[in-house]
Amino acid sequence: MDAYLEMDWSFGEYAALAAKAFRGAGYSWGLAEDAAFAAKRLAEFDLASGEIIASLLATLDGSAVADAMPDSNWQSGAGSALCPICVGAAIVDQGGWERTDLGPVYAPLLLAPFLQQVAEDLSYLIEWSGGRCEVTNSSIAASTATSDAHDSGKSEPAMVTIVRAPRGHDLAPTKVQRVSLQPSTRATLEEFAHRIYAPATEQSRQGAGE
Amino acid sequence: MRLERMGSFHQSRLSFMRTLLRHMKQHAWTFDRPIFDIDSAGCGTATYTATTPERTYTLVAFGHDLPNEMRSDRVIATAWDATFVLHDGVPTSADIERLRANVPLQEAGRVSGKELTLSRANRSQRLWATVIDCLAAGIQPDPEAVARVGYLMRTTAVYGSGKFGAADRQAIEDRRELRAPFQAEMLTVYLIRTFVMDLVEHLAALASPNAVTLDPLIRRSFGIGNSTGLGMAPFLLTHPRLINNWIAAREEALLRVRSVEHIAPAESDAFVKIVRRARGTINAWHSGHEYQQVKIASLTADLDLLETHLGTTTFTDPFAWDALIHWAAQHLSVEGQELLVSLLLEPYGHLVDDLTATMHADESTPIRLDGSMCIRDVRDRLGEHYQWALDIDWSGPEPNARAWYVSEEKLEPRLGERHSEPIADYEQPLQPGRDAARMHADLKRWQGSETLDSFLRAHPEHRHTARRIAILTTAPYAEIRDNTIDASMLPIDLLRAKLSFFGATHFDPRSDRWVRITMFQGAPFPNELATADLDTWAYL
Repeated sequence: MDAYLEMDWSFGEYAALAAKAFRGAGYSWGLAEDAAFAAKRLAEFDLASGEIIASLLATLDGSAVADAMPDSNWQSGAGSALCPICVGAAIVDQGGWERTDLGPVYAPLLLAPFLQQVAEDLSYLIEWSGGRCEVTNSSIAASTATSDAHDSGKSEPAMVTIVRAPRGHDLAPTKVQRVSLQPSTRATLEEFAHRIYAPATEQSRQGAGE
Repeated sequence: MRLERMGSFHQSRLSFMRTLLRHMKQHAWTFDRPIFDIDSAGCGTATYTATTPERTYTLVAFGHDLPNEMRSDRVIATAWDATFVLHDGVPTSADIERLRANVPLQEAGRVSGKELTLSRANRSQRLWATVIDCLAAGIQPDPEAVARVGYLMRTTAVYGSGKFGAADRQAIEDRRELRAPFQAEMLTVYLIRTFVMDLVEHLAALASPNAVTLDPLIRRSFGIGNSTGLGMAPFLLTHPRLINNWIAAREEALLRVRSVEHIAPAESDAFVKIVRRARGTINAWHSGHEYQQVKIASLTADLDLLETHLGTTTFTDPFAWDALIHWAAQHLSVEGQELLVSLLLEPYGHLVDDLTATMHADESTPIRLDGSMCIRDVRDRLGEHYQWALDIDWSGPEPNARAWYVSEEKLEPRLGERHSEPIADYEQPLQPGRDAARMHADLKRWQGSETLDSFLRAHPEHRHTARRIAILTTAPYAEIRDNTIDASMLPIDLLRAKLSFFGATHFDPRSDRWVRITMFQGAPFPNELATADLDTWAYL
């Protein structure tokens, strides 16, 4: 098959794969839906979304999602770094972010789609040792280093500052129409997704209806 | 919104096939067949273009010669008699070669963002050869045999919305002709039907110099078949905002008709005529499945009652349609009541057709939760929307009998027996009632003054249910108020609800979990569209 077609994905199928991968990694269905949304939104802004979530899932594999869930003080009860999906979902639930310091949190760029949902007419500036990202309700603009698809450390936990500021000049980051998914990234995500499928049995073969 | 009622829905003028045909006629679409290169075995390539005032869409069809033993309706089949895509624009020869390398493989191939749908179809074993033989012999096929089957090819899937690499819905949803749901899919099937009719006439002509073409009336009586299994069922549960808008449009349409105080004689005449035509449709509706046979029999009896009742109805009485609906609730089966709803909309295109513009939904962003909501309010809202689920004793085996899961083998949704198969750990979130009951049980252990965001940090497993409750606040028809894992649940009720919104007819269940239907039966062909009556074609 044409290698280009293999890597050229629609947002819909990418989001569906992301949701299954997060569920396969032990996230609840609701958080997996949030994760798929965040992955899709980063992909729309051409921000190496697939590599980021594949790296995050590989990093967290084997640990409990609950350990990376923020408590009311935005710390992990287990003393570990925080999951950006769990933090992002909690930020959206509370309607915004009033503090400054957060962390350590894995793959901080994944916070951006969540902050976008609560940005309204303001903007958020996210900064950490590996990158910087500015978010408004219509755009996510990351520094070049942050969005480098070959940056292997993108899921490394980092202390983050998130500052809310009046929206300045309009950002014009690149928006793309399709997701480019590298075969190795796809393989990692499919490996996690595979965990939600039930092993076939003779009875299950009859369950399809014919 | 109960499953029994959803499993009794009929097509109406709000259905997506009828929306498409009205739009095509209103905007004077034109059609062409630039390529038709098919040999006597049915192998080759054909393209059909549909041109709107703004752009062109092209059905690219590949014909194959499939041995009988490989013909299967299973979604997991690997070969078909014909395979299709709807291409966005006019394909180049390079596009067609790319598609030829991928489309016949269906799920095992890839399409690009230049394609909107991917589909395939198999010949009807009952009718295909018969019709070609008749035409080749210079005679028309038996209309009764045609009516009994209703189609020459049967599709088994029409994939859209980004599947297998196709364009995302969000990339095309701003186009006025694709704004209503499933318009690209319906256009695909409509053009497939045209291709199939051309194909049989072409094969007959190749077989004999004395071949005739189909009589136009018989030609119109062919639809396109479709075989739909469990794969479609989860859609109604995973798109609550969209389903709400479909049901809400139908409810609003009915309300508008019931609110008509003075019925014009032309309106009551049109209604009486469409009731008579509906009888023809019901009489031609055959099913080998006992479940459907019982429903058709009750529907036939309902039509007798309705026609008798209409004979004594004074249509000049104020709000006579409203009175008719009240009468139906007392005297007709659920099938009959739902048919009446569809029929009542028929004379009122001017009142209801605009509602088709409200039937899409933006589901691109998860609905936001109000984390500051206190647990007391969350409990109240859950009780308001899911009391039916809280009334079920979930500890018994029957309410928990089934589990929805995806099999490793075929990656297709399946419904299994929870107590006898090792599937519970793989359960999909397709049992909102059971999940609401579980969330309710956990909420009881929290103080009423605590907040939802604290609860969800401790119980992320209830996040999807919290989201459904939030959706229900503004979308009252978003949830099916029935247990989707009960031992007695019939998946075909889910399938019929969705397929009726497509505009399907002749529901013919083959088991409790897959169904055959007919699409576009009676519809005018592209060359007939400009002068066709689009209010009555869906009734025989």
